[in-house]
Amino acid sequence: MAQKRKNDGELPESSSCKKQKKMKGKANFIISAAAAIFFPLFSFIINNDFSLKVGKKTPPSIDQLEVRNSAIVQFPEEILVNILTRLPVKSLVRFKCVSKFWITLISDPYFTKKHLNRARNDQDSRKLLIYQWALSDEYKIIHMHQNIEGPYYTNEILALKDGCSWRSIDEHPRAIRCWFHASDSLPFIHAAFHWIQVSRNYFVVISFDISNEVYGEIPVSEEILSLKAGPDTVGVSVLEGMLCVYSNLFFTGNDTFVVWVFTILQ
Amino acid sequence: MSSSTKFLTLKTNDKEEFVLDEAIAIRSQTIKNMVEDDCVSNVIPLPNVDSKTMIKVIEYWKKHSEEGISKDKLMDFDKAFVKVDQSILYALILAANFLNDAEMLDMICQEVANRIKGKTPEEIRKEFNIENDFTPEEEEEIRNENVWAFE
Repeated sequence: MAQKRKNDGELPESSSCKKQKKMKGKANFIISAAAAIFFPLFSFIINNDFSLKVGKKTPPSIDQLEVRNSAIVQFPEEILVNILTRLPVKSLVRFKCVSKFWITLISDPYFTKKHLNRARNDQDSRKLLIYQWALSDEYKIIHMHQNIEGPYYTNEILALKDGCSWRSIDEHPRAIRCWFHASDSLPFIHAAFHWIQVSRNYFVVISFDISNEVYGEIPVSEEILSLKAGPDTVGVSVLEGMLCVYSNLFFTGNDTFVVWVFTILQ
Repeated sequence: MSSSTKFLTLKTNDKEEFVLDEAIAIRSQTIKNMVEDDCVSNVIPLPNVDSKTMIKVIEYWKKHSEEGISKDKLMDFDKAFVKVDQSILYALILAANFLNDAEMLDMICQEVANRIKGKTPEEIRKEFNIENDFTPEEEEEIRNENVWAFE
């Protein structure tokens, strides 16, 4: 399966090039967001149907528990997965060379999803999620810069299956400034990431379809447009499966928090 | 305890019998299903669990069924509970899996993960008795692709 992954630049380079980027963008906020390009994972993120799969536990059959060697315990695959999905990525990558079975298991997208799902629920490891994608070559990592002021950097994408070098991606044609919130991940819905971008004097919600690498633009209402908003006061998020824009600036001084929910018709 | 307390007899593979309050025993989904399906005769055989392991399992079930026990106390108990030899830990995993007690299984799997996360591939093979079926060249290639993980 994954044993023949001969890329030009390997993972060590990927991690070092990431470091470089981090230093380069010191003045700016950098948000690296990553997503799978495959639709099964999209549906997993959107519907969370994967957790259903995990939750549905059937009692193990007796022959699954066979102890093949009287002295040494052999775990059923299910248990091995339970243990391995609790490991940090670094350990997993190292354990790829334990055996052919282990590399197949660890590189399997189903395993990766399970690992990701566990890591998502663990607040402490959220920051490490970016490395998660290093486990499989079917994923893309996007690296975006928040350009509030200072020098301008282009966004980049790393598709693991194309090898390990970053390539610049086109900016949205009318992009001037992007606003992300430093600690937030970019809301991901309808197979795309979303964020707010300022274009001349108004702002728009931009979507980026990670699979096809195309931008979209979602028009917002006059009401939102009329806000004198800044990056601290307007954001985009996902609410119960729908995209929404929120602002705490609507009636300044009234401590109001307003949310607009979009229904996207397709 | 109310007079309606029911007891179950669990019989391990080394023919030891354990009499246990049904309310405690049904922490095991496997036993719960048997009780619900009404296919419990006098004795429930547990062909995959030995008595030594079952004693530990029951210790865990009883502690976790104590009324009004604080979270901190349970955490302390759990911490001490998993401080056992690797062989006991693995027997507990298989028992928890057979008995289908997800909470206990998850706790022990986490403990195993904590124990192995810093190990080298060689140590893992030894730990789980895994044969290295890579050629030296294949292994070298995987290592070279992932040098950062070996630092």
